[in-house]
This record gives sequence, C-alpha cells and structure tokens, in this order.
Amino acid sequence: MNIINNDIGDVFSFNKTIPILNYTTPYFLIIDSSNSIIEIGKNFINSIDGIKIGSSFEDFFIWESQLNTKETFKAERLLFFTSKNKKQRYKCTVLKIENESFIILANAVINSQYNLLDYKLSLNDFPKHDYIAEYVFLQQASTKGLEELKLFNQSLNNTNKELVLSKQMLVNANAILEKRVNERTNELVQKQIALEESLEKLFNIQKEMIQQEKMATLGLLIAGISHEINTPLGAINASCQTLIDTVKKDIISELNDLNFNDYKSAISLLSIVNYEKKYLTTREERELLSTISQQLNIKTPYVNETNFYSRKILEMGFSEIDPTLISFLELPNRRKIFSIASGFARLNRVLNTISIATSRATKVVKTLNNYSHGNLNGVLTTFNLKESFENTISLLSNKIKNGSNVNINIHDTILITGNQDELSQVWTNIINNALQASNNKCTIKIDYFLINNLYHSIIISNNGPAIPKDLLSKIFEPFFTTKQLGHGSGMGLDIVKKIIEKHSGKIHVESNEKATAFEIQIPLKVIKDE
Amino acid sequence: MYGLVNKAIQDLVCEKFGKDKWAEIKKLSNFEDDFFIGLQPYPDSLTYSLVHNASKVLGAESNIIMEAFGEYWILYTANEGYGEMLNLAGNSLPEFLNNLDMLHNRVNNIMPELVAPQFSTRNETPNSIELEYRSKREGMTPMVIGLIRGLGKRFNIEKIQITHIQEKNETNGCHIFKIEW
Ligand code: HEM
Repeated sequence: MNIINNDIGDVFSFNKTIPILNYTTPYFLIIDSSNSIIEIGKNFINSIDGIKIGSSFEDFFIWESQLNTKETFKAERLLFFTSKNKKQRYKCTVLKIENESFIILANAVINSQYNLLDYKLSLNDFPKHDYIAEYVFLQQASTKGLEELKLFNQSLNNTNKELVLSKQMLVNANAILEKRVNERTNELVQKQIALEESLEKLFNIQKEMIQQEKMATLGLLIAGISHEINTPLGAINASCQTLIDTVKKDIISELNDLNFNDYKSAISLLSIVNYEKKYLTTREERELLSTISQQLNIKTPYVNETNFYSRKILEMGFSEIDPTLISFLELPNRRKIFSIASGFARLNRVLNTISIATSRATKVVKTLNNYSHGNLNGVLTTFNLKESFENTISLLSNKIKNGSNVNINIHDTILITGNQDELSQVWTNIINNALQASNNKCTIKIDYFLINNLYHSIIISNNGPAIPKDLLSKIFEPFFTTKQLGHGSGMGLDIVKKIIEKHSGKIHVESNEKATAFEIQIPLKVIKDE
Repeated sequence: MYGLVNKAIQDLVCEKFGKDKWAEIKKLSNFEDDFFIGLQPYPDSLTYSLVHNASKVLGAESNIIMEAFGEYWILYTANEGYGEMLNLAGNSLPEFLNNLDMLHNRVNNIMPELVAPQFSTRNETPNSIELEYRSKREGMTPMVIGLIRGLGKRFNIEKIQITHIQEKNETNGCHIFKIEW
C-alpha cells in the first residue's frame, strides 16, 4: 500500500508504517473502496467499543458534513466526525492511497463538552510530543480561570448590587429628607402665619382692652362729672325758676304802678317784643344804634333822648324803627313803658339762654351717661319705623329745606323694637352728618330690607362727598371728627355705633364718589340687658 | 509568584483555621482585594508577607507553615486543574522527582512569567534518592520538604525520611535532600 496523492507519492509502504502511525497518530483508520475499515489506530481500538477490521465507518461514526464517506473524501480538507454515541468528537484529514483506499488521520477534540474521560483514555495514550497534553492543561487552566472570573463577576455584581441598593437608599433617604424638609418648612410657614394671626388678634385684644380700660375710666369720670354738673344744673334750673318768678313779680308790680292806659300800652308793647334777638358784636351794635337813632330823629323828631330810646328799641329785638313802635313813642309815659318792655325783653332773653344752656348741658350729661353705660337702658318700645324717620326729618327741616331732599322708602307698616329716643338719635346723627358734609345740599335716601326674617336692614345713603378711604375705618372711633376743633365733640358716630350695638345690631359704612351709605342691622327681637 | 500560590495559602488557612484568621492575615499583609487571580503574577513579597503574618496570627513558626503548605500544594494543584499534569509526571516517587523540571516546563506554558525552581536527582537506589534543588529564591527549603512529604503520600509511601544533606552556598549552588523510604 502506498500513499499516492499529493507530494507524499508512493514512498511509504503501509505495512511498515502502521507502527509509526500508531505512535504518531494513534487515531487513524484506513478504509477501502467498499467503505470497510481495513486498519484501526490503537486509540480507536481502546476507546470505541466493538470496532474491528471489516466494520463499516458509518457503523461507528457520523460525518458532521452529513455527506457519505465517498463524497466527503472528494477533496482533501479538514473534517469533523463524531462517534455514534455522540460521546467522542474527532478532527481529521483524509489521504487517498492506492486501490481506491483512504487513510483518515484523526485526533480527539478536547474541550469543555468532550473531555479526556469521554475517550476512555489518559494523556499517556498520546505521543509525548503531541500538543494535546498542553492543550488539555491550557483548557483546564482556562476553565479554572473562567471559574475565577465568574466568582469575580459575582463579587462585582454583589458589590454593584450593594452600590445600587445603597444608592437607591440614598436617593430614598434624600427624597424622604426633602419631603420632611418641605413638610417642616410648610409647618413652619403655617405656624408663622398662625403666629402672625394670633399676634394680630392679641394686638386687637390689647387695643380693645386699652379701649375698654379707657372707656371704664371715662365712665367713672363721666359718672363723677355728670354728678358734679347735674347738681349745679339743678340749682341753676331751680334758681332760674325763682328768678323768673321774682322778676315776673317785679315787672307786674311796676306795671301795676301805671295808669290803665299806660298799662294797656305796655302790655301791647310787650306783645311785639322780639325775644329772639341775635347776638351782636360791639361794632354791629354801634352801627345799629346809630341807624335807629337816625330813624328816630326823622320819624319822631318830638322824641328827645334818642340815644336812650335807640338802646331800648335795640334791646327789644328791633333793628329798625318798626311802624308799630311809632304809636308807643308818642305816649307821654313812653320813657317808663319802654324801660319796662326792654327790661322784660332782656330778662326773657337771658332766662331763655340759661334755660337752653342748662337743658343742653343736661342732654350732654345724659348722652355721656348713656355712652359710658354700654347696656340698653330706657324703655324698649315697638314703634313705627317710617314715622320715627319722619319725626327726625321734621326736626332737621330747617337744614333740609336749604337745598336737600330726603326720600324715605319704608313701608308704612314696618315696626321696630328698641329705645325710640336712642334710635332717633342714630337717625339724626347720620342724617345730620350727611347734611353737614354736603353743606346741606344732597339727596338722602332711606331704604329698608328685611333680612332672613331676623334683621331689619336700614340703609341711609347720600350722594354727598365721599369719606376718604383712610378715614373710613376710623369714623366709628370715639373722639373722631372731621369738623374743626370746637365744632363737634367727635362723639357722633361712636355714639351711633354704641347705640346700635346695645341693640345687638351692626353698623357698616361704604363710601365712594357716587354715594356714601350706612347700613344698620337691628335684630327683630331685641333682648334687653338686665 | 503566581496567584495560584497565594490562593493555596488562603485555602489552607481557611480550611484549617477559618475565614476570620485569613481575614486577619490578609489585613496585616495589606492585601485589599477579595480574590487572588490564579493566572496573574503577584510580587514575591506578598507571598512572603502572607506566610510571615500567618505565622504571627496562627502562632506557628514560618518553617512549619511552609512545610505544611508544601504538603498541601500537592493536593491543592490536583484539584485546581493540574491533576492531569501531576498524573503525567510519573507513577512513582523517583519517576516523579525526575520529571519535576518537565512539570514546571509545562506549567511555564500556561504561566509565561513563572520563575520555576530546578530539580535533578542522583544516587538513586530502590529505597532512596537524592534531590538537588536550585532556586532563584531564598527560604523555600521547608516547602520542598513538605512537597516531598506530600508526594510520598500521593504514592502511598508509608514511611518517608527526608534529610537536608546540603545547604546551598556560592560554590555548590544547590540544596540537596536525601529521601529514604
Ligand atoms: C502541577 C503541579 C505544580 C504546579 C502547577 C506548580 C506551580 C508552581 C508555581 C506557580 C510556582 C511559583 C513560581 C512563580 O510563580 O514564579 C512554583 C514554585 C515552586 N514549585 Fe512548583 N508546581 C507544581 C508542582 C510542584 C511539585 C510537585 C514540586 C515538588 C518539589 C514543586 C516545587 C516547587 C518549589 C520548590 C517552588 C518554589 C519556587 C522557588 O523555589 O523559586 N512544584 N510551582
């Protein structure tokens, strides 16, 4: 048998070369043209059960190219085949030799899938120079290396997982922290707001307390003062009466000294005396006196002592020589009659002034008393609201008729319960203020609504000048006034508010260029304080 | 030395004395990685340091530890993918001792930076042999004794006696061990 293909030629005789082949390539097979094995390498004999000369290649092996042996051998190339039990894998080259036979030079493939044990051999079964041993060692070293790598990777993975976990924990902790910080900030802001609110409340309470304290002191003061004033007022009133009585007697006795005709004349002169003589300045008085004396000189040239008569006539309240006076000036006893009449007029006026002054003082004291006692005193009556307004209007008619008008839009049947005098004072105050602010020239409207069958709502509005915004909140404060010093006590709207509050009511003001409106709410049922 | 050596020291300590002792040794030696990589060279000083600190922590002389390590090495390498290589080195103690250089040559194929010792035998009798050991390193003789003891066990030799009959010096250049069984 000689190898005939390639460069090898037919140099070798196979009978001689079999032992060499067994040493150098222990995995070899020789196959004849009929595909049966005619020579087997020692490693195949030792590792493939049942293989023997005469067997067919296909009985034990499968080509990985899936071709039959003949086709596979057409070209010389690297080929792979596996044992039928799939436990061993080989790589080989195929050489063509004489008689249409082939020699398959193979070697075991060792890798993690096919290891040495599968071949039922040891490395000693391979030639010492064969690289398979080194291959196996490298293989095993690399397997170990891979195991180490896996461990390493695992440890890295674990570290990584720990890192990811701690990062997540950090992120979570951060989020929690941020949330807490936000919550805390919110809480703090809320607390701050609450604090500011309670501070404001406290401030208001303090203001209120100071106010109450002031009012209490004021109350005591007023009580003291009103007592102190009431006593002399009573004395004045009483003395006034005595004075009137005495003077009346004097005048009557003086009148009684006159003869009948003079008595009649004196009485009729007294009847035309104008008691409401205006208060005059010295200069006005001087001017009037000269006017009157001039007129006297012209109209009654027969009357001497013009200075005496002009003074008497002025005292009687005349500012010129009224024609009615002429007849009295013609009387022989005119000196006495004019003396009596002017004396009477002067007296009356003084008494009148005293009476007005005392009654005003009494009223002020009463008002002050009412003001300092915060409860509803006096009689509670149920009265007609519209009538009550009409009364107020008629009292103020002097001012109103100077260019203002008042519309009362209240139904005739509306009844209200309260202290009529005090409520009248409220209407008066508000309407009076409106008149004053507009110089008596405005339209005042009084409207009425029933709220929820619980409250009377009375709206007193006017089209006078607006109350400046910064003053709006102050107008109900005690002693607040826009009037010049001396022209108002500043008690007006404060009293109004007190009175309304005593009636368990509310007062509220709104003001703009078009109108100023006070809304007064008074409950239908007013409960009197005990 | 390659990490395989350090790994073996680690395994020996962990197996015989527990992981805590090993952690202590590792810490004293300033080694911070979790693992040794078998196929990576580490400085010799690390290996020496590990042995030194092991002796400190375990309260045993370095010599004893080195010897124990030598004995352990035979078992350890067999399990770490070098079993086949050991198998190829021989079926008897003398054969194996004769093949030690071949063995390290093979190791060298896998570990290119290996600084391997050199061995040769002389005066072989049926019951004894002398082993010449040449090394670029110092202080490894206790390990050689352990290694031979390990090989004795591998070949089921019941009684083995190892005598360090020649210390290395500048003129002779090698240690000689006489092995009797
Ligand atoms: C397959 C088994 C073995 C392997 C994989 C192996 C591997 C190694 C390695 C990696 C070193 C460290 C040297 C360096 O990294 O530079 C070494 C050193 C050494 N080997 Fe081995 N070895 C094996 C078996 C043996 C045996 C059976 C002996 C018996 C005497 C031996 C004796 C030594 C000695 C004495 C050293 C110390 C190094 C020196 O003195 O410089 N080895 N070996």
